[in-house]
Formats: sequence, structure tokens, C-alpha cells
Amino acid sequence: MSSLLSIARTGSAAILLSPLRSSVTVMAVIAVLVPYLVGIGLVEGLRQESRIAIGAGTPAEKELLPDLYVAANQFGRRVPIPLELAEPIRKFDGVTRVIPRIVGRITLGKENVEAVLVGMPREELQRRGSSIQRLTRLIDGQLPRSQHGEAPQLVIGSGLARKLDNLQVGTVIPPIFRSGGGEKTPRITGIFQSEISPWQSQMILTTFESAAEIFDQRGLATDLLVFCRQGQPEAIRSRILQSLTGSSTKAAASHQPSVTSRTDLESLLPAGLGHREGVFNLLFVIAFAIGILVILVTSGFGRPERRREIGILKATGWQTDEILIRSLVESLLLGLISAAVAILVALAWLKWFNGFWIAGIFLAGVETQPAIAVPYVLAAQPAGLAVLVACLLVTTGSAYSTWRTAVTPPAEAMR
Amino acid sequence: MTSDSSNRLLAVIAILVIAAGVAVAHYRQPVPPRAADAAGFQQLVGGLGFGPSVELSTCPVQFDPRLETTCNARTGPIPAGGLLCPGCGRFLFSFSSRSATHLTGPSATRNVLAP
Repeated sequence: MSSLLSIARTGSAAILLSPLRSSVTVMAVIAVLVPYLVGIGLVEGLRQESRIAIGAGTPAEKELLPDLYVAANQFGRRVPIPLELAEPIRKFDGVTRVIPRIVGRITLGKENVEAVLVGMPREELQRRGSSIQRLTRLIDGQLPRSQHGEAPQLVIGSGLARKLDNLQVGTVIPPIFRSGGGEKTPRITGIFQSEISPWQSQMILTTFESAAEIFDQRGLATDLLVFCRQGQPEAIRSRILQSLTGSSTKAAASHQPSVTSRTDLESLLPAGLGHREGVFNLLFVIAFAIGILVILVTSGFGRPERRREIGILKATGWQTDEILIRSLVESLLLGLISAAVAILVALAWLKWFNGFWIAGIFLAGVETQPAIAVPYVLAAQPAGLAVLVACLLVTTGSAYSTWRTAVTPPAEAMR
Repeated sequence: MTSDSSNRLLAVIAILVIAAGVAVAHYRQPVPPRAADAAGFQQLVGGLGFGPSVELSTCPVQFDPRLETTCNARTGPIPAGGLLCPGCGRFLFSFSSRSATHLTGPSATRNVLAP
């Protein structure tokens, strides 16, 4: 046992014998592992944010997020839903509240900066704002209170504020619409804090009334947010589909309702991730295969020093299995160094450099230097996989060349 | 090569492995205050944002599948037609067009009832 340990200890000494070779091997593995860890870290972070966005895991009785999202379709495409359809839904047994919401795309400024305009009813915003503890952690400023006919008050995302020449709270921006009511200059009443959510970045929150004026669409909403009593959503969903589809009212007759529940969204999450993660993993399998070839070259082929070293060991009485154990320990230690450094570099990239450049590759609309706090999670599974892959990569890359040299007569190996 | 150098290397490796382990243990879950703030934000906007896009220009489905059921650029009959959309084909975290086949559990019913 002690002789085995002594042989294993020579493995660590072998790393220091050829520092250049060891460094190149470690760098090659790190170069492959870091983008993999960063990509998976971002996906895991986004998955957690998405779970929060659909209220997964929150108690149903709290009524924090809607149970159902009702929208309208025509010709198989999503269209705005008439507000008058909210009334029959509100009367259904088990429905506690129905809130109309507007979500639309607008562009701002001379450079046509993309933004997502969200309109929520004024009273609802105030009610929700008062129920949230420490609203200042979410918004620097105040929630919008603009009524119909008044100049719109806006809370804008941190990314938008930065893109539009570092807008501050209280700033008045040029009119962003021309509706029948004439031009009105919107005022910034608040800016979302950058770390609360990635989706706030390009968002503009205003009252439903102001959003309807900005888009010049009266009596319409993007969707209706339906809150139900506990255990009722599925029954209400069926009732909405049945009663509104067959309704005799003009508005309902021309629109086919579409209802999305939390369960639908929860089922989308693993499906969306599974497919893309599979493709991503496949790409990295190719990268790992190339990594093996790189290490094969650096560890044995074309390295006469390495051959001579093994030849000398053989000449001094080392057996082939002892040389292989020495090489295995060396490879495992190099793999451990590579994986540990890759994990720390990935963490530094995501945490301290806030996903500089790479976040823009994985998240659309995010700049090279993100204006949001990039979501990330360093899960144990990919980290463990990184350690395993690093050790396998280095071991596979060096085992063959070591064995070939070890079975060669020492005189020939040292030549 | 001296035994001291070898010992120093082993110590460095141990420190690196422990540091990486601590990093994973600490960052394997979102930080609680951040999760609470994200929940507060979602409460304000009624639940919005679910995909790998922070704006609507690329593909609304990738911003939030609640806003659109299908991608505008999707060309179903063409093999890999979904990849023609710069939004759907680009991202690591991404959603296919929503249909009943993707749904599970009690919600695996058609959104629009057949006449």
C-alpha cells in the first residue's frame, strides 16, 4: 500500500517536471469547460427566474399571480381581447378577480430603442404596490398614477434608462405617441432596480389607461388575468372556453378564447430546456472530443522529453503498471486543477463580470455590458459533470501515449 | 523535483478544489432576497417574462409564451423550420411553439374547443 502511495506521489511530482505541458493541458481543458459552465449556469438562473414569473411553488391562497391568462384568437393568431369579455368571466363562480392588462411593443428615441410597454389598471398598481414590502427595493421612485387624459407616468427598466442617455426619475421625455387626444409628454416616475429581474430591463410600466392611449386602442386588452379560488382554475378554464366560444355576443362570437394556466407554463419549462440543453451538450461533446486530441498531442506524441522520461523510469526498474498508475494520478490531478479553476472562472465571469459579453449571446436584447444583474445558478450537477469530464479528458488524452511508450523497450524510448 | 514542491502543489490543488466546492455550495440556489424581489416585480406586472429574450422584437414567444402561441417565423412543414426564426433557433433556453402536445397533466386539453 505504501509503495502504491509512493508511486502516486510521484504523479504530483510529474506535473512539476514539465510545467509547460501541464499548463497547456490545464488551459485547454479550462477553455472547453468555462463556456459550458457559464452557459448552463445562465440557463439554471433563468429557469429559477421563470419559475418565479409563473408563481411556481407559491401558495395558491396568497393570490400573488393570476391562475389563468385569457386571450383571444382570430384566424389562429393572437389578437387583443375586448374588455367587455371580462364581465361574464367575473361572474363565474370561483373567480375572485379579473384584471385586464396591455402588453405591447414600442420603440423610443432617435435610435429606435426597443421597449415592452405594460399597462396595469391604476387601482390595481396602487393596491399591489402597497402590499409589497419595501417597494424601494424594486423601484427607484414611485409607481405610475396617471389617469385617462393625463400625461402618462412611466416606470422604466434599468436597461432602457441607460440606453436613453441615462434617464433619471422626474425626467420628461418627448411624446412617444400621437393619439386622438393629442400629444402628451410622458414623465419618468420611477426606474426599476437592475437586480430584480432580467425582464424589467426593456420594460415600461404604466397605468392601463395611459397604455390604452399610447397605443390608441380603447376597449381592448392584451389579456385578462383571472384569479380563482383554490382548486378551481381547471373548472373555470373549461367554463371560459365553453361559454365564450358559444357566446351570442358580438365581441365573443368573433373571438376564440385561449386560456393559459400555470400548469401549462410549468410543463413548458422542462420541454423548452430539455431540447436546447441537449443540443448544447452535444456541441460540447464535440468540443471535448477535440480536447482529447489536443491533450494527446501535448502529453505524448511529438514530446521526446516525455518518452525519454518514461524510458528512464523503465530502465531504473519501473514496471509498466507502475508507470500507468503514475500517469493516472498525474492526469487526475491535472483534471481536478482544470475543473476547479474552470468553476471559479465561470463564477467570476457570472458574478463579478456580470456575464460580460456571454450574457448577450444567451439572452436576446441584453447588451455586451448587461444593464441587468444576470441570473445564474452554479448547480452541483454540471459542476460534478465538469470534474468528471476534466478528469476523463486528461486521462483519455494521456493514457494511450503513456502506455505505448511504457511497453516500448527503454533503449528505444530514450533514443 | 523536491518533495516540498510536490507537497506545495498538493496543497494548492486541495485549496482550489475546496474553493470550487464552497462556490458551488453557496451559489447552487438563487440568493433569497433576490428571489423575493423578483416575486414582488412579477406581482406588479401580473406575471410577465418567461424566456431568453428581454424584448419583443426577436420573437414574442421567447419573451413570454403567454403573449403568443406560435412563432411568427415558424415554417412548420419545412424540416427544422423553427430554426429559421432568429429568436427560436438561437438560444440555449428556448421554447417551441405552444401546442396541446407540449402540455401535460390536467391542462393537456385543447385551448380552443372544436366546434
